[in-house]
Amino acid sequence: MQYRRSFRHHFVIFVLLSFIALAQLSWWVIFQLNEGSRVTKLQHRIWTEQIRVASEQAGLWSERPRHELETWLQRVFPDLTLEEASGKIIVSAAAEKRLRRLAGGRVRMYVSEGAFFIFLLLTGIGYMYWVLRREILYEQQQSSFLSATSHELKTPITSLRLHLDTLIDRDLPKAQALDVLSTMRRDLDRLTDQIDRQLQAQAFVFGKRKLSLQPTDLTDETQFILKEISGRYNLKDLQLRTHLEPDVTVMADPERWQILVRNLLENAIKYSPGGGVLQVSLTRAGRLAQLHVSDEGVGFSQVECERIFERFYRIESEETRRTHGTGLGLYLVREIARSFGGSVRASSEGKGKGAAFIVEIPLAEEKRLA
Amino acid sequence: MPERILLVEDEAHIAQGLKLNLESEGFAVCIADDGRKAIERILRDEPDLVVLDVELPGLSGFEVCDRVRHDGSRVPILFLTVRDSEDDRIRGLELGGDDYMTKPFSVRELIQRIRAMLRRGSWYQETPRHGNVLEFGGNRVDFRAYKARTSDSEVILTQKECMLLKLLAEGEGRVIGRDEILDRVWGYDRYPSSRTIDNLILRLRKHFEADPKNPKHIHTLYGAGYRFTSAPTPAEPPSR
Repeated sequence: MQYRRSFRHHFVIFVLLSFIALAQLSWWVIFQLNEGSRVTKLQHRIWTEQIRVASEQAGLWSERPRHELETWLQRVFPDLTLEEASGKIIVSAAAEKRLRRLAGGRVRMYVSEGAFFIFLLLTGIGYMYWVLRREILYEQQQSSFLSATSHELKTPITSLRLHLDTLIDRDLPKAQALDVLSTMRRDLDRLTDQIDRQLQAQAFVFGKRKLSLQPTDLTDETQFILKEISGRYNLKDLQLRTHLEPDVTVMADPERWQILVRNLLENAIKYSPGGGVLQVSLTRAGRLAQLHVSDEGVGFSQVECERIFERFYRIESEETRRTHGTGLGLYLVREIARSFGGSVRASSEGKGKGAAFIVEIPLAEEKRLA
Repeated sequence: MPERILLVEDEAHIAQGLKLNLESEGFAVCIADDGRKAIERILRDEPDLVVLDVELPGLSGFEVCDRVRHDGSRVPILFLTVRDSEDDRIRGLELGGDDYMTKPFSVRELIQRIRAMLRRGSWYQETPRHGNVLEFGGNRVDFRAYKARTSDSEVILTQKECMLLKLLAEGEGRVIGRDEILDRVWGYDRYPSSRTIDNLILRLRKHFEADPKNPKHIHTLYGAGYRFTSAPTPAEPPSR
């Protein structure tokens, strides 16, 4: 809301400045064209005056030979000449042509310069608009991130404090106290996960984490995470189907691959509140190792398809969100895939129609050959 | 009969922990885990108090508060949220929330605030000595219906306007200090500034005084507080 207001405010100033700049430019072009027309009119007035003076001189020299008048005219008024048939003093065709060429040249110059200025101005306006929009979007994402982080960190802390207060203030039966303690342990896990994810993202942003690529059996690593996830989450409504080809080896960092798979799976679980089938397959596709994770969950629109990998981007508004998260999970997936020389892409048939993520990493043999 | 509290909270751990504590204090607690269910429960079950989170699936706590107030519910609402900015607090109170607490919180403090809110609610429900209808200077105020008829129009009053006017009318002729107003109208959390009281007094004068700049019923005694008289009396000379 606040950002929408702020964007509107900036946009109004921006449009106003653009309008002033365009108005200024239009005024300059009109002014220059008028000035050109004024110069042409002035030249005609000068010629008229010159013809009057030369005609008076011609009257005085009526007895003299014609070539003397022509010599005098050429010397004093080079733009004038004697008309062959009538002998009247007129503006020479060459002078008229020169003036027309000059006027035309000026118009061409103003139009081309004006067009160039307009081009520069529009490019500048477009660039400023793009920068402003990007800045505001980034600011908005950062604020959402702060709000989400604050929520993600404070919620388990709130729960921990609440349950700790309960244990201190209330005299609970042992079974109930154990329940409270187990809730506290889950809160602690959630808090630890959140902090880990933040630190991992920070390590990527600041490039502080040293990357050591080594031949990694993705099948083993993926299997390990699948077991961890199945043990950790209650997948009662989700039907997990896996197909892992053996010995899919790439040059990677095993720990990072685990983070990538964990984030993709947690994402799929989080956005499948109604259950459905969660499919995970790891195969060789030509020279690539291909990890395919698909769900039948809430999906996303075509527009969001690219944006979901942006840092801090979240599909839901912070006030009315249905899921936890800070907009870092898929960002980490993309950065990790890239760090192995691979890529990730997402697709969805639309809202409510599930989502699919495909990660591709060059196979180790191919990399060595290359 | 225990007082009924509706707890609107989507984080199951927090909801269960709070329920356990509130039930131990003798309250009957119901939980709603999203905004739409919360609205339905508030309007259908008419709880005695609502503890409302802001970040909720589908419909935010702010929207819930706004909608139930719009539908005429006067249930005391306590916001309990991680959103701790001044803007959010003000928004919550402006939309009709009665109190605002941020997470993490102390359970004991929360319980005290809930008790204070319920106390204020029951004080307000008590029939004042002049009954639930107050008549003065051509105005007729119905405290139960939150409505008033003035000499030229009908006015819908806010809960705070009603509470302040009721407090002033109960102590007719007596000077009511700012502290007493904060205590009775706002209760445990002295969140509002003195300026908020001034604004509320200005609103009451605008509703009920023929000339709000020269009040005949709601007088300011500088440095002391406010005094209400049902029969018109001239404004007090300023005193320091």
